[in-house]
Amino acid sequence: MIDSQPENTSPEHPHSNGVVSADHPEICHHIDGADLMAYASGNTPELLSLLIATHLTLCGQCRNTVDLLEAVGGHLFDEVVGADVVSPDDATSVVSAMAQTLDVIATDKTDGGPTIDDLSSTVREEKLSSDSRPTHLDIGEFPLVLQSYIGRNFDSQKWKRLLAGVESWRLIDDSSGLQASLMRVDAGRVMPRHTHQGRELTLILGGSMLDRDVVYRRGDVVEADQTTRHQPRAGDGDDCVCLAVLEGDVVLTNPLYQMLSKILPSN
Amino acid sequence: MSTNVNRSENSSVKPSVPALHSQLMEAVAENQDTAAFAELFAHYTPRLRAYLIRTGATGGVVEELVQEVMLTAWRKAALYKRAQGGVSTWLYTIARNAFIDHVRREKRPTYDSDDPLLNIASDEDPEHDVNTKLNAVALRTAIKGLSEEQMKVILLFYFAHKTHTEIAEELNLPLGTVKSRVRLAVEHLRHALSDRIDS
Repeated sequence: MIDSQPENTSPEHPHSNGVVSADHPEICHHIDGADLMAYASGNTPELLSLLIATHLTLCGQCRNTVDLLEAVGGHLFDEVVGADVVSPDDATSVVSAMAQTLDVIATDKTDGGPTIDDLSSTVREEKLSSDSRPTHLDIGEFPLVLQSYIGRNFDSQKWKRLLAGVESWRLIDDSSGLQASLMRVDAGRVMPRHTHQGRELTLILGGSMLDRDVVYRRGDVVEADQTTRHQPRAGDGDDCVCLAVLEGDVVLTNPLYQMLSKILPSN
Repeated sequence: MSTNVNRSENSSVKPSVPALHSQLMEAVAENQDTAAFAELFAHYTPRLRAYLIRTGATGGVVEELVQEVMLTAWRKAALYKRAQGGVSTWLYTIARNAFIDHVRREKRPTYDSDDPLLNIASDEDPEHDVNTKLNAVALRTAIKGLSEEQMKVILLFYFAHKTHTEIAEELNLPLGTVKSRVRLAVEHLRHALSDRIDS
């Protein structure tokens, strides 16, 4: 049930608070090469693609990798087996297909008509206006692709308090069953020790996170899965804001929290 | 080769096919040149058809999508940028997206190329073609350098559109093994094709 995607827009908008990152600190923790291959060849579920696309906005190295993986795809496509054999019947059908296409082109009014919305990204909703941003979180710092998933409905009232100092805002689940949330964690706050039912990818968007003795900053990707037991801690300074994409649930490993999670309403 | 009837006496400089196709696409963009378009159509529609058939799309859908891809190429020709790789890469990405959109019925978010947050490194010139090594010869050589096992996996990604898990099942391998194989293949390709070797 794909609605026809809106025409590409090239929004012209001054960047609102002027913090464009010429002095952006180096991103050290990138998307796994295996995921970049899956993404470049069109095989990642929507929410994983969203996390990757958000990281790509901030990371030239990974964009470069995706470009070259797409070029590999283009090369394999160009040399695909079976395309070289053109029988006379094929030639006729190519000519008639071409004639048909040229007919359609001749009747094109503007560049209207549904086309495959391919080419740059799809900004599905308008960029958030400055009035809709809650004061404690500047969504203008989010890559546009992510903003389009947050949409106009973003409301500071709708954050859910998971625990003291930890809030989440859940995005719509994708069709493969992945779930995604924005998380905001108070500076210095330690998360409860936990593991996972499946993969968890976390993209840091603001502040920092210390996890398994590594510090992650804006643009960095943290990976965890069912073999991980960890207790991330938000760094001092700014609150940590991140996008978390999960396969399955978080599993708290402290027996006290397990008891609490039975008492408290689940998110 | 047919008799060489050309006006210029310097017939030794013949554009490569990819360069020629870039010229044709630019002619479509600038002049709505239907003859140029026809030449691209003749070259690429058999490839689009073969690619889409290999993805498992069925007959009628294949023809529909082939036409849609070429129509998109015509309508959005102005967005084709020679510096970002050849026409075959551009058409491949359009076809890939058509497959995801119409056959898979999924969405594939991508970064906005006009995003002011697009983090261009201070030593990077956005106009400069950073991917200077993405020519056909370099690509062919890089791909030849992959092992048979790596190629098997890669073809399952690009043509059969399988996920890591599906590939693991199909090849009867642990998921971890598939992922390592892909990672190594990506590293090999990065080193063979990247203009600047990042850390």
